[in-house]
Amino acid sequence: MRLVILNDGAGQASAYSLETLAGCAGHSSVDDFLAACRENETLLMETAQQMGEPFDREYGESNAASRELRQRLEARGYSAIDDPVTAQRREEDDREFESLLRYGQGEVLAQAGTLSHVKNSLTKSATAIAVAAMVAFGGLSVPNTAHADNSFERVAKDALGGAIGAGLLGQFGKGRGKTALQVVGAATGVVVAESLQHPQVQPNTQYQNTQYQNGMNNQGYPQNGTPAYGQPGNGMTLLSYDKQEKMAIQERNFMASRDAYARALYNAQQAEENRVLDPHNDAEAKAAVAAGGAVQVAGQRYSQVRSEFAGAFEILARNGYAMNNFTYAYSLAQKPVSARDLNARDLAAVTAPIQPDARPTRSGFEY
Amino acid sequence: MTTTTIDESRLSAQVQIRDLRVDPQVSEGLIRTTIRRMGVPALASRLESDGKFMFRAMAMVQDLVVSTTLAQSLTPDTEFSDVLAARSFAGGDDSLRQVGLAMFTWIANSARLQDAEISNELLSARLDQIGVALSCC
Repeated sequence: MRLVILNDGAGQASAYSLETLAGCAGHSSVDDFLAACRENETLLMETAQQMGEPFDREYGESNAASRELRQRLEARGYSAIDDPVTAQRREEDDREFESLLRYGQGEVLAQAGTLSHVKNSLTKSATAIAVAAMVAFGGLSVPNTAHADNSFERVAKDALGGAIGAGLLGQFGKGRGKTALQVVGAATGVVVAESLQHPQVQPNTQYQNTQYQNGMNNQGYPQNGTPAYGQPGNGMTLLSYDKQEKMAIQERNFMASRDAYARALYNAQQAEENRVLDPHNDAEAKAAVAAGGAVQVAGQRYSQVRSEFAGAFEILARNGYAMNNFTYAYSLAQKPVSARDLNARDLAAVTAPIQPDARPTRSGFEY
Repeated sequence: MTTTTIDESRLSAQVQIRDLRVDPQVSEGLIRTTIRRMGVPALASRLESDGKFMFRAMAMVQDLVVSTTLAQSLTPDTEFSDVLAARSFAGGDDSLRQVGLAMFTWIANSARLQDAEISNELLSARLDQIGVALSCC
């Protein structure tokens, strides 16, 4: 016998068989009664009232008996019977849960898309969502052709090329709470559309240490075209030629003084090592003191140039300019300098055996 | 003599998966909604009174969202156990596990990422693995 438990929410519960309830409500069969309950969500409550029994109007989820009723009805293939207030609350909860979940999933995928050992294991649809979510969460990193050398970036590029717009919202199956994803989708549509309209102003994300290590001068503006006035996809203002140029000079000075400081630190380290290895040699001791002095001088110069460059960067960034090309150097400006920061070519030269001073003199333009 | 080979890329994947994060506000919202739906007053009051419980629940939600998302988005040839190895779930707390199972059921019943590459069977197998990880540890 299947029991329905009517509960007043205060610990008073009465159990009735579905047959009894159906009879009281004037239905000949249980199935009719349940069907009617489904049509008219308050029927069960009304039936209970006809019987003079309490019914949990709030239909609180905290109510074990109500949960049991729900389970029994659901086991018969009927959806739960809620009073309108509870039904609404349930729906709001569902929507909230789904929205939060979608947001969380988008976030996870956006991060997964940046992980070198994970991103190539994502399926195509997941990649599309990952890219969309990256765009929506602001971490836009549009793969450009030259670097599309792995499957993630190829798929990502395809996704950006066309699949995103309408396809994205269909990626998740039917659910009531697609709000978060719709937000993601809407944001994506706008940003992607803008990006595609201005291919020449894609942020240059390929700015890497190697350019310094190779002694190449980063030009300070995107390499794949002419920087133009206007809005890049992220709503920032592009730097004018003039500002780019000046910023690039500051950056170069900063990198040069940083390198000089690192070299001074390295020399001081070497001098110190020579001194302790040869403790009775006055010349080594003097060299160590001199190298220490050189560190002081280079350090002062560095901190001055550093604050000029970092200050300029911060002010321009605060005023809404796209500073993508200078973020790497700026990130270096936040880090302490050590002897290890000599760039690779320098290190190779200074650690080369025999020729003690074979390094060519470097001009500022080489940085 | 036995030689053990450690697959470096799998280890790296585990390390990277361990770093995946979910917005704390999202985690908190998911916990509150789930506990409201579960309707267990004891859990609701523990959530309010026990600060550590909330933090641990948030860590668990993070594990759940990450693992269920990756279950739907990693290609079939990926070792799913790497995902589980990187995550700790309820960590032996019974009421946490209770919340986790309720939330897991809810997530599993909500709309899945529609992707032909991942069959329903594969997805269920992966979700089963998560369910086992969730109920055992």
